[in-house]
Amino acid sequence: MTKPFALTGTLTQVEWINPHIAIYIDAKKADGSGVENWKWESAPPAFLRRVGVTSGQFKNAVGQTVSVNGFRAKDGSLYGFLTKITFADGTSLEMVAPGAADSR
Amino acid sequence: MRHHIGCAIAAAILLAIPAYAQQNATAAAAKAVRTVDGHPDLSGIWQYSVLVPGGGVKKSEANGAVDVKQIDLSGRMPAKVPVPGSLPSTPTPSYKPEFQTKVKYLLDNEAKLDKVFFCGRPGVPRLGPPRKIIQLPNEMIFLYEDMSGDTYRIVPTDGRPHRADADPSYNGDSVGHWEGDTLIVDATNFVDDTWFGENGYFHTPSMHVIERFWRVGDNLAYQVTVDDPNVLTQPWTEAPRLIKPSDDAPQESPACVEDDAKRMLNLDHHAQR
Repeated sequence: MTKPFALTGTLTQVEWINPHIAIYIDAKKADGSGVENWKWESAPPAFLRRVGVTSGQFKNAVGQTVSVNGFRAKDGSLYGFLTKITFADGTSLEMVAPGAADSR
Repeated sequence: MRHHIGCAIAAAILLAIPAYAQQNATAAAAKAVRTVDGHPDLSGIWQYSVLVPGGGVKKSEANGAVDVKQIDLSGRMPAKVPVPGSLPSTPTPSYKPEFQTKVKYLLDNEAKLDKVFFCGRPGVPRLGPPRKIIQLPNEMIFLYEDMSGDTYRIVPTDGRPHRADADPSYNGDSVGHWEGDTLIVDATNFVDDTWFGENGYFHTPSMHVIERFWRVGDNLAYQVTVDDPNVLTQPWTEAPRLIKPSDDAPQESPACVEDDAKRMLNLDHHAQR
């Protein structure tokens, strides 16, 4: 997964599981012929819990339009690794590297 | 018989704590809270110390407010400061020459072969220190929070020997005793399908693990020694860790369902390669 990728669609499902959480998004096909359901994985629940991210932040957004950034799987499947999600209300959660500014 | 002799020699080596280490541990624990039987009290909730990717999350509000929180992995890493009471350590174990190729192969292919990546149980000692310790007069209860499931250990400290009837297990059969202010937990009888470290550190059923727990101020000091005379040239003592006290109560870990390995086209996992 090395190719940056972005997608906007409807959040349909959230799986708060190990070793990585997963969310599913219905997005329009590139050719406009309908929608397809994408799976995006991200960090482990234990990691997210300790940086102040809860499952509720995602589950409360099911049915809403979200935009995601990340890296698409090299095998071409409808699958990616999520590094940023922007919710319908304009808030966003973005994975940052170790050492990024800590405002705590 | 040869196995038993080997274990006895290994135990003698492993249990020979240098006097200076014990004295330092005693000094460090002098101010620690003690139980009614006089031992340092190790009870409590301790920092989450499982290896997860580092970094953090930046939360941005619609109004422009930004908050960045980083995960604290210090409990999973070697202590950055000298730890009073710790034993001399080395960065890596010393495998016998005939096994070094195997270790390298496992390391090079860990993205495919490390069962922990696929929700496998890490077992002791890779499991790390407990998330919660309940210290009782004759036993220690260790509670863990792990992606593979939340395991536990009950470690008798009443002087009994290892069980003779226990089946091999991921966490082994553990017995504990106090040496001064240090709790020594001696574990044997492991299954052989775990690694004792991330880097392909395989072992045989003869693995013998000694974990040392002691207090350094408010922190829990934790140090592991691993021996397996079948594959190692000598016991390996890892660097000590300092585990902070925590108010983050353990929670049941969600189910573990690995789904991305089948999509991997190379050996890169978590960008290690």
